Amino acid sequence: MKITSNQVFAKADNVLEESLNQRLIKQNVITSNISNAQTPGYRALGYEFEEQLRAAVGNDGGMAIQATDERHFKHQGLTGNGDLRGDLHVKPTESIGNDGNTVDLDSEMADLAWNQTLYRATVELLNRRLGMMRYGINGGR
Amino acid sequence: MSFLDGLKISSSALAAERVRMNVISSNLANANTTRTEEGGPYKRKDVVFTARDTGVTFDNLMRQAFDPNLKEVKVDGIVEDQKAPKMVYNPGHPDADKETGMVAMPNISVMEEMVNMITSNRAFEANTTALNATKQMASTAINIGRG
Repeated sequence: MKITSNQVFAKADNVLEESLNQRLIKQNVITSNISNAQTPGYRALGYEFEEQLRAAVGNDGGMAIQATDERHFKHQGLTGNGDLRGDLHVKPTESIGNDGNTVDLDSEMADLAWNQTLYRATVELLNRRLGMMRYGINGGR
Repeated sequence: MSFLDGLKISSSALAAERVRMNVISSNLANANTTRTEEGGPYKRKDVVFTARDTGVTFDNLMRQAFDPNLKEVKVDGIVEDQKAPKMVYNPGHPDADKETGMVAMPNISVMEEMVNMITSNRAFEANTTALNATKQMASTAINIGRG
């Protein structure tokens, strides 16, 4: 019997994996903002992916695209291959100083801490799921 | 997009802040210097930062066509402050004007330099925090599946 990865790993694992990818992108965006907090004319960037992730998963927890015919390509839903695109935008904040820089360092530091915490939480969830899988593999021992 | 991108961005900012700190040190050290190689009193120096796309490899350029345009910091140059020198009455000074007794002192305000120094210090700290956060995320990721 051939076992595909989709049979082993549940949808939830893919969501968690994609979530980690997206958190990393967000981390880099925040880092870019903090680094350029003193650069004249730099416009702070924002990155949101939660909506896109939710849409990709679907409201019922199923996949967003469904094949209605046998011959259709099967959409795998989230594959965790980084095919999800979040929304990168220039933050609509006004310049605080007079050099055209729109980075609010305090809020960026808060975002950084929050993003880091959520990343760790996601890894923790993933670890719990893998632990369950290991429990199953070992026959409950 | 990898952990290295974030680390590179943070370290570019750390390097830039270090350059700024050196320039501020130079300004403070030379706050009373009346003789320079170019002649005249020391002139205040300032650092100009510019945002630059991360990395310039082909791989990076390809990814940037799709990926967010993240910017690292680059020191664009060190410029001289063109403010006029401070004129101080001090007839006993060797560089004083023989007739008026005025000495041209560097156009440096120690207060201003101190404020810039604190700003630079805080920016350095913020970037160290960001660097540590990214590092910790990476080490968390290493532990996936080890539970």
